Amino acid sequence: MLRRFTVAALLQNSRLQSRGCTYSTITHNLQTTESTGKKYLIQTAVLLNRSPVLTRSPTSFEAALYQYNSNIGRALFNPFPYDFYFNSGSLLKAQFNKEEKLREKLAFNWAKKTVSKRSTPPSSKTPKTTQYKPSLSPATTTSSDDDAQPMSRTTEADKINDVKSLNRQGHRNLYLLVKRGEGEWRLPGARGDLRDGELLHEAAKRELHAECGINMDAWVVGRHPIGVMDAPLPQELQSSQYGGAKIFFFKVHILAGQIDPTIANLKDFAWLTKEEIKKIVTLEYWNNIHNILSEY
Amino acid sequence: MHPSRLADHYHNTLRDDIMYMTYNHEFQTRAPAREPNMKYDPEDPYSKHRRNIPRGGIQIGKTPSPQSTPDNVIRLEKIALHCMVKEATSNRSQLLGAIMAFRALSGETHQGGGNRHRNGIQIVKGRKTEGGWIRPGLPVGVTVEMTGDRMYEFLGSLVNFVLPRLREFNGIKMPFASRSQQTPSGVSGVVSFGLPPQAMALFPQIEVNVDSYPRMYGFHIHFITNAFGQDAQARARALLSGFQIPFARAS
Repeated sequence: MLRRFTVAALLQNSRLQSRGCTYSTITHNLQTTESTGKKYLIQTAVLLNRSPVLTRSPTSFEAALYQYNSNIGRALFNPFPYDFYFNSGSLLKAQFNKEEKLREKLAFNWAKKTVSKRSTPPSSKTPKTTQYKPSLSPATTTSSDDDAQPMSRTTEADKINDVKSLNRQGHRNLYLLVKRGEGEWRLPGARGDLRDGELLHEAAKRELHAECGINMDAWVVGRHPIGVMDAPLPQELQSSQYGGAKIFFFKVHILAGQIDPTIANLKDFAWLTKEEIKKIVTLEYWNNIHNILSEY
Repeated sequence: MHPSRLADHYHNTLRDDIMYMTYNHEFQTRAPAREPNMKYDPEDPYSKHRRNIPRGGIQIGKTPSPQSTPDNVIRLEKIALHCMVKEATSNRSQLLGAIMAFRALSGETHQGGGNRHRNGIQIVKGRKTEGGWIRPGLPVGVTVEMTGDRMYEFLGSLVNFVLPRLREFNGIKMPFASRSQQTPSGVSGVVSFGLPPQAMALFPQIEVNVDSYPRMYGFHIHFITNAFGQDAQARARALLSGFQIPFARAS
């Protein structure tokens, strides 16, 4: 993946890399807190994010504002440098002028709709004769673009609200939530402990693939966690020396592929926006994660 | 006019990612910087009004980077294009082709569209006498600055149309890993690179009527960000990578 290669090349020997290593090492060493003297089990969880694939459709106000600003720009533009592009009196210049009038007409069309029926615009008083009607030349509009219709912004997944699909809500950030066995809806990961000498972000990626399968192209954003949460210890470690567990969240982008639903212990999964996540996670969990989710 | 795709991409995705990637965690608040020893005594009446700099020099390369805050996240402020036309030393009308080409590339004109903050295409004049080919006040180059939506439009056309079609272009050259980045350019947060004359014809704004221009011009592109201090240029490169601009080690 091009982005991964360039970032890897960038970070190869830079201070950003060494800073990341130092941070992870310090995290290991700070397992023992000074206040309680107890150790904390360090776990990693993943915020798997599908970025928006569509630009947001402008609201009617935004569309009107863009149109208004465009028209202001047209009304106040500096004179076009005819002398540089055209010879005086040439046919090309005349054709350009006709096409420009057409573009102005198209651009200011909205103003004509507000004109009342009584005050007729001056153009309607010209006698109707067979005049040359210019159309925008092939250089300005390519016919191939007119034939090709863009895809609909709402997909099948939107219509049936298929929360397992990655093609839903193209203009929003989607996040993966998973459900294990009889547990609650959670972010994937946080199932085990770190291995010896393993860095946090490496552990996050390993756990993600272990839980959700290898059929996806995932890219971890940097080496820093983006959030932390206190969590209860897993059953088998309740009586050990650990006072509790800390889960570090890592942001990971899914670039291609999909979750493997046949993985053991994975009861259910869903790709949800921030508001949809709020509806299905517990209040305590929501308080811990809502700040790392994007509103867009 | 329409919503800017790259501006939306920056706000939706890139800004968060760059914040996480460039975050420097500082455990304590910084101790205030030590007052440097100045070269001249400001009390001494002989040296009172001299330009006084620290004894070891300004040491701009050692400027510390500001603390990471959400307001401080790196962003692209402007893109500047600069073209030097050597033939203009003898005949200043040679600049006209470059001015028109930049006008087409950037869409900028002096206070065009009623925006009084836009300066349009600027002529670059010589600052000092050198080598018998330039003297102060001689117009020899053309430059333009783009901000906002226009900047993102230019960036989009550069990334989608020009860079993929350039011959022998693997990426913007990065300095050697062993090279010290404690230099004025290393702490500036500005990434610069040059394009050959053939690249100008690949921009769709120029490609549509290449023959209207007397010739194609090679030019420099400067990506100006709000970063400064240690690692500023590295952070700027990380930002531009997010806009799909490739980088390559100088071989």
